[in-house]
Order: sequence, then C-alpha cells, then structure tokens
Amino acid sequence: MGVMSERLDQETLLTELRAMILEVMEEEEGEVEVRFESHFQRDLELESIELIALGDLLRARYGQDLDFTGWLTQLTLDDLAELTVGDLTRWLEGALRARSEA
Amino acid sequence: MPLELINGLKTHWVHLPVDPSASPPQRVVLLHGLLVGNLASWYLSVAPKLSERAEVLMYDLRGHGKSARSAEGFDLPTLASDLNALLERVGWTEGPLTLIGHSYGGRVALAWALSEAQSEAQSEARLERFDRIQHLVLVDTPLLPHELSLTLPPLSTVIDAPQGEAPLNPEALLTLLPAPLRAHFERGGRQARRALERWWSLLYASTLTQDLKRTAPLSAEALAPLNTKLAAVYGALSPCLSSARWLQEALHSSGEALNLEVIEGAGHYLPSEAPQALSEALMRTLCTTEEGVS
Repeated sequence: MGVMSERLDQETLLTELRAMILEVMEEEEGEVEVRFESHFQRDLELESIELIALGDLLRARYGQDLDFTGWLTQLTLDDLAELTVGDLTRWLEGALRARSEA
Repeated sequence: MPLELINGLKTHWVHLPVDPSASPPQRVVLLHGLLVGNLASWYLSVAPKLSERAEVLMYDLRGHGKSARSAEGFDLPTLASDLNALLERVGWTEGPLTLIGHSYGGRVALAWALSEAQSEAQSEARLERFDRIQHLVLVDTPLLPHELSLTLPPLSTVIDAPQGEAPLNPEALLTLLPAPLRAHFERGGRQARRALERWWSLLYASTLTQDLKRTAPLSAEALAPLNTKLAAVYGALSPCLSSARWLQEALHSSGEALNLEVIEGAGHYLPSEAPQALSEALMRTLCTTEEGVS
C-alpha cells in the first residue's frame, strides 16, 4: 500500500494498528486483546524484534518516510516499558497530520 | 515487513537510510550473535547513531528473530552465503562495505570477507588493493575454540553433552540456565515461552551445535588479506577477551597493529550492556580512513 493521502481518525488507526500488532505477534484475533490502553511490554509481552517488525508494517502502510525509527530510538528504556498502544496511536496520528499539513 | 526468500529461506531485514548530510556516505552491515541475538540487538543500540554516517543494513540470521526457523545451515560457509544473497538482493554488490559482527556474527562477517578476498585473488586483482571491505569490526567475537561455549551457559552444556541428551521440552531447558537467567524465565509469560521455544529449536532441533563444533580454528595466516581492515571492540569482563589478545598477536606477527578498544565494566553482550560506549567506538572506526581520520 502506498502513502496515505486521506486523514484517518484515531479509531480507524487503532483498528489498523490492532491488525498489524496481531500480525507481528503471529496471533489470531480473540487470542490476544489489543486495546488503546494495552502496554506493549506488560500486557501484550511484545518482543523487541516484534516492535521493530511493527515499524516495517507501519512504513509499508503509511509511507516509507514515517520516522518510526527516530521516534522509537529516542525513547528511554523506562519509556519503552510504559509504552501503550494508545501512545503509538497518538504518535501516528500526529505524524500523519504533520505530513498532511506540510 | 521486509521478509523475503533469501537463499531459499524467509529472511527478515531492515535498512536504515543514511543522514543526507553525511559525507562521504558509507555502507554498514550489522550481524548479530547466536541464540539470544537478533537484529533488535543493533536496532535499539547503535544502528541509529551509525546511520548518521552510513546506510545501515541489519538482518536476522536464519533461525533467529523474525527469519524462518531452519533445521540446518549454521556452518560458516552457509551463513556467509546467506549474507551474500542478501547483499545481492539489496544491490550492495559493488563498492566498499563495513561489516560489524557481534559474537558469532563476527565469525560470519570474517567468513564472507575472506571468501570475497579469495575471489578477488582468483580474479587476479592484487590482494593489497582488496577494497571490497572498508572495515571489519569484531565485537566481542570468540575466535578461540573454547570461547564460544563460554558466551552463553546453555551452549557449553549442550556442546559438551553427549549426543541425544536433549531435555524433553523447552521448559526443561530452564534447568540448564544459570540462576539469574532461570529466575527471569521462570516468571513465565509469552516472552519467556517464545525465547525458550526458539532456543530449544536451535539447540535440539537443528544442526547448530554440530555446525559450531565443526567450525575450523582461525589461523593468523588466513587473516592476512584483512589485516589492515580489522578492528575490534571487546568487553573488559568478557570471557572472549583472550581472542582480542590473540588477534593483536596475529596482526603483530604480520607487522600490523590492531585497532582494539576494550570497554571497561562490560562483558560479552556489548550492544545491550554498553550501547553508548560501543556506538562511540564504532563511530571512531567509521571515521578512520587509510589516510587517517576523516
């Protein structure tokens, strides 16, 4: 899929993110509950390699210029431990809005 | 995610573009170590910093990370051929490369580089003009036969055990781990379960340990084509530090000096134990040219 041109609301982004998270975890819908407030480490127990694979999917879906690496690597270990699906959704929403306004 | 058939096996790789202001831009390939390693070891430590100066390519070795599990092919020629196939896939078939390998990843980098040097020699290019490798950095790479099994306790147990003595299931692997690691995994959960399954698969359902046992020892003479390209970063507390000393001697006997940095207070797992110091050491190497510091 190519670069997004349409504006996506938070609910739509969350739905899309949920599918991508399940894909990198190799889990089926219903086996794992992915919610806005789910912590990647504490609740989902995502491995770091899976978080990186999620970044690959995000770039494929929303555009290769999405600076997921820059965002992820400026987080401290404490930030990573507390990172939620909602944090990623909000960051993604902001990054897409900034691009559409540029 | 980039997950493509490379050398017949689904391989996960990541490319970080170089900062457009870098001059001159370089190319770096990062190779992780066995069992506990995958490309995340690099991605979350030194890769972003290196991308200020170089395009960075990282991948999961076969059977590791998000690459497909493999029952065989952990010998150095096969792993080097996997690397070669990936370089062809991304179009890095010409021009100088810097290879940085942690632990056994350094052995894979060496195997590929020596095979490249041999190809150039056979094509009548002069070895002293061998310029496919810009730098080859060994990061706590075990070079001496007894060292590999010291890097991870389960390895020594498995490598030294008679054939066929496998635990009945991944959970039984817990008994082989040292107490702190065992306590971490005994807490259970998805991450622990997946790590144990992966280790069990590599240790008991693949040829990995037999392939490691068959790894031929290195000789100082074999390294000769790479003498001026080699650099090394080791942990002061690592069980592999004697490899660094051996390498120093090997190069010294050829009249060369090894660019060696030893990181105080760090052990074998430098990318996670000392990411900042490792980044700085690797950046110093990238900034070094044959003419001096650029």
